[in-house]
Amino acid sequence: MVIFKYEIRNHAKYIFIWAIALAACIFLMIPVYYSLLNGAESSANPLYETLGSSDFFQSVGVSMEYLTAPLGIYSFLTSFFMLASGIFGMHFGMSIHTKEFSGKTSEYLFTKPHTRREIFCAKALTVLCGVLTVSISFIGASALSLCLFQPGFDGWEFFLVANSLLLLTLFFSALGLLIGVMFSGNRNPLLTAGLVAFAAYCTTSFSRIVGSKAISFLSPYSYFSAAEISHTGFYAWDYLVCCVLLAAIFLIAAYRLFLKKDVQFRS
Amino acid sequence: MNEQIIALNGLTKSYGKHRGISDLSFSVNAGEIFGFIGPNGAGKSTTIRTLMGLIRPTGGSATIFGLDCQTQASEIARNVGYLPSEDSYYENIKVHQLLQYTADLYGMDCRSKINDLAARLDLDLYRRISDLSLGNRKKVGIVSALITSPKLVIMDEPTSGLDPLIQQVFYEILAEENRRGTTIFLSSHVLSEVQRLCDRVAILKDGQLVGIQSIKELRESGYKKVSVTSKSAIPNGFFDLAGIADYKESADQTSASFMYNGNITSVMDKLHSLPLQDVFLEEPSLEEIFLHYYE
Repeated sequence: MVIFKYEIRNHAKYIFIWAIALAACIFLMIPVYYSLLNGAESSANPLYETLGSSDFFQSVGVSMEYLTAPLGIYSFLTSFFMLASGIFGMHFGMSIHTKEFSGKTSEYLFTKPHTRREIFCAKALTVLCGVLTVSISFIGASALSLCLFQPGFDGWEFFLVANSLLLLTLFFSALGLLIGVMFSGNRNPLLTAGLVAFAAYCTTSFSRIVGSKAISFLSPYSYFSAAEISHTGFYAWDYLVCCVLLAAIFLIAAYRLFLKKDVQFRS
Repeated sequence: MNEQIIALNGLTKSYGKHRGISDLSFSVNAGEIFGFIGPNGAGKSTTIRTLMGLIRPTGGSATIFGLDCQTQASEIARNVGYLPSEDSYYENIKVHQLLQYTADLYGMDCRSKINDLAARLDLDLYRRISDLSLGNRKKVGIVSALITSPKLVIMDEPTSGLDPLIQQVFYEILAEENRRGTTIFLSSHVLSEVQRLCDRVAILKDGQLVGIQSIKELRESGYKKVSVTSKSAIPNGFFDLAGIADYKESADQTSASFMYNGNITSVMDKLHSLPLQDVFLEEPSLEEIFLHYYE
């Protein structure tokens, strides 16, 4: 608990900056995008016709029909915020380990009367709290903005779409924890996180355009499609199970490796 | 006082092509101040990090307080104060916050000891870690290692970066801790420090143990330093005696110096046969004995 408290205190600023940034952006972008695309009767809007017929919307998991639904534009926006939150989750998961290496503080922390299990759990719990804070603030700001500027949406559907961001961020944070433990000498975790998240995002876009389900399993962005949520009223079960299973595997692998691995030292 | 606090049994750590440590076996007794000397890269820090459970040995084992250093590292740490060679701490906090964090990690109230040690070492508790000089960071490390009044203190190059006055205070603090019953294990390549503080030393070379001796034994190993100046050139092979080491002579061959631990009469006989201008027979410094180990 001591380590957890310290880690939370140490990362509070970082977490709050991400939380406020995402919350403020979604809060401001919802009214802007809705007013931009709802200027005329939805489907008659030439913007819908132009954008909706392109592969672009398909690649971000929003269909033309869904775009005109009350939560269509929100889902479209969330798909981009998921890229940012994926980077955040992965960067946080990685850097909470790599920081000890780059700051040369491993020797301080690992020689105190706390087991590696305690250290890992404290760090993982800190990442979980950070991800929850950022995601909840995003969901809260989204709900507030929609209530103010676009009332009359389906609450459950909104929750599922918004919650996709939380699940995806958790997935990436578990992956980040594993990569952080494996490559604790990584000196640029933000670049790594950005590259991995962007590659995953592109993989999903590609899989949707070519219509390959096998490829879609390679990227967590495929697991949460707003159109699918609107159509079935829940996440696709196969993707959800895959997401939970992979995240659990990443977490367990990170934990087991953390217990066994030599502490890395920067000379 | 013969209770073994630290015991290494064939401890080995290899890094593939890079040198690690090989088959180290020795023990440190309770209440002892044990020095661990060797040049940079000899494997001192690797040994200490293995003892602290930071890295896993590829062979052998090590125990502290009879507990396995790998599987029971956190239990061991409860009674160990550790000063790493790298003086890096969390940069964004102040010294008192870091020391309080250390105390919290041990679950102890160490405020009076923090204040006492900080005052003696002239350490400003309210400065940010990132603003500290190398010497001040070392002071933070020393205070952090000692505030819990541990039964064992392990220090890796403890005085590097400290000014001579603070070194003096540090030696006094260590001596006090030792009188209180604390066992001290310190690595250094500063021989005067080891000579001053330690009861016994282990000498490490290329990751292997060269020897363990008490400081007294090391000094009494029989080595004498002989320096000779002759009026004429010393013939080649003139001092070709058993027990001569580190032989050096001047370009004109009129003076020579060497370490000698053979029969003193033999060397005296040789000296008698030279047209001597000057001769010194000295007890070598620990540094000279130490360098002799590294030949």
